[in-house]
Amino acid sequence: MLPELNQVTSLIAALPGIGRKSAQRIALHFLKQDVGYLNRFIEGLQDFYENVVCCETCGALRSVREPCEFCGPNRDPSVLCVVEQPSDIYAIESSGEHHGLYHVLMGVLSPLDGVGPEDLTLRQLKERVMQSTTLRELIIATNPSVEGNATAHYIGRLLSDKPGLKLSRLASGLALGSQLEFADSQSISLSLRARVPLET
Amino acid sequence: MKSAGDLFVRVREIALENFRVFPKLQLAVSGDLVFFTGANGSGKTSLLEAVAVCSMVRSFRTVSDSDLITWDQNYYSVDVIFHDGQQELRLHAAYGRHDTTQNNQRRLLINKEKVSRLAAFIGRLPTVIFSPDDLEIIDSGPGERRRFLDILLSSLYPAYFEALQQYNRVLKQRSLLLRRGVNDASYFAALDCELALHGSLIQEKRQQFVTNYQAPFERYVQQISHSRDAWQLSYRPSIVDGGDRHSYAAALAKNLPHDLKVKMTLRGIHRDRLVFHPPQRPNLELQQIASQGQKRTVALALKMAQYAYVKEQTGKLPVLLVDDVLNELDINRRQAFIGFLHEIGQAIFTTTDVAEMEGFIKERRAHSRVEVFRVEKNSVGHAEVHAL
Ligand SMILES: Nc1ncnc2c1ncn2[C@@H]1O[C@H](COP(=O)(O)OP(=O)(O)OP(=O)(O)O)[C@@H](O)[C@H]1O
Ligand SMILES: [Mg+2]
Ligand SMILES: [Zn+2]
Repeated sequence: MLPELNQVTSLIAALPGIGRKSAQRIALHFLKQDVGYLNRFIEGLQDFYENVVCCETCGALRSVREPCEFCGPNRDPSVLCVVEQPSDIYAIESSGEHHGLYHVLMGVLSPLDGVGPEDLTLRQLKERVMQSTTLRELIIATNPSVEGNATAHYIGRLLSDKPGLKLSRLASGLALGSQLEFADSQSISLSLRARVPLET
Repeated sequence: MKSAGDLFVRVREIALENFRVFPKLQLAVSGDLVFFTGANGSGKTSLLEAVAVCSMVRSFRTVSDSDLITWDQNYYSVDVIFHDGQQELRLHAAYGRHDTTQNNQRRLLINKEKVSRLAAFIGRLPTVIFSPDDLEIIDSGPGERRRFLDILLSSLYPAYFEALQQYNRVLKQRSLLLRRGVNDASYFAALDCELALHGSLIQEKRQQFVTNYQAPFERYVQQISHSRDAWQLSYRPSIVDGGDRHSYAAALAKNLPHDLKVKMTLRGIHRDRLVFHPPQRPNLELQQIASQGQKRTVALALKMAQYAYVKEQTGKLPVLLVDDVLNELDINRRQAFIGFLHEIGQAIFTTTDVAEMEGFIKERRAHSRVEVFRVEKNSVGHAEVHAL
């Protein structure tokens, strides 16, 4: 293969969910576009990369130019939903069931992947919960995987000394081992509405 | 006994691509007693293995799926069409890759529809395999007996299979923490919660199984040995009251200091034991005291009882896969086995020596539709199958 084509194909194939065949198709597609398109594409990526950051409070993605939309005054401060990744927020939002705040863990506990408690935003979560005067319920929406469940138990113990805080877990309508990110909004909505007290 | 209500499961067609010695094979099967005969190394066992792969997703001979791919090829595929007593089903199990730049992948289809959860595929075609290796279940360490139990219960209960997968994953996570010497009680408590959830379910099912298995097992031992032998099967869980989630978790918590010292999880369903012993003598283990012949009797009874158990749980007559066993049985065990054939549905046998089987085959023709195939390697070393 042409070394130039090979290089671009490899870069694109490294993207999630893209195999080598599609990567090559995309690479050749670029070749057919005019230079204006290519520049817009590159600038768009650059702007995205430089101006999208994680909210210091909740971990959601936000623009450097705007305050975080999920920490604003129009959100219900009595309910906090804990998720693994920023992208999970969009999945929960699509269900329209949750109007409260979020907290992104930035992963789940997994010794096999070298992720321990100190690698997640658990300390920040504890501080947030302890300092809050409005919080009544914490919904733990980690994925229904072994790691997601263990992380939920861990959080349950971490926050068990907050008086009057209700801890709940998404109902298990989502298939075992499935990912929030790929679930349809209907099933997320159901499992949010049928959420159950966290078992410890 | 075979009751009128049991559904007769029949394999109708086996189609292979790049499976062991078979680059390509399409074989229609119509008998209820099917024999694959042929020389050593011709491919007989591989045919049973193909049926087993559609039943259990894994082979009874190897742990590695790539062993099943014909040498120098990239993938294998097996299709089995069978009637389960109510409807015809087509199972497709494939493993491998299109070219060497890709990773091996598994592909499972039921009636051409993709199945993403292994648990939804395993056990759709109920089978019970008799092979010379069965003796190892009796005669090796406790791991072999747990494996026997796990494979059997996974094929019957998808929830068992999934619990086992999850359990093993958490156990791996926990082992890693122990090995690193992480001394964080909350972290362990979180993992133990998950271990207990899956472990207790597995333990409950194992307990239930042993309770129901006892009667047919003892009956077959008696039958085969003409009441000379008697053995019992006991389940010795590592956590005594571990069928309950909370007691299970409590036992793990209690043992944590010890686990940390030895850097291993010492309690749990991965350390359960299944023990054969003489009645009323739970401290004597079959392995230590039984003769070779007695062990063979138990191995045979174990499999016959497995058949009875699967039949009872599913209401179906599983397909019996018999690899080489018949030739190796002595007269008593052979008689018991032939008596057992009255209780079963379709059976597929392999044998090198069709002449030795002739009397048996002739006798069986009076009762069932017998079909004999000859398996042969052709000039290029590929196997072919001809009806006799
Ligand atoms: N992946 C593979 N690709 C090609 N050939 C293979 C592969 N794996 C095994 N074989 C060969 O397949 C042949 C058939 O093996 P199989 O065990 O099915 O024979 P068999 O008829 O059961 O023999 P026996 O009577 O000795 O039990 C053997 O010669 C073996 O070397
Ligand atoms: Mg063989
Ligand atoms: Zn925010």
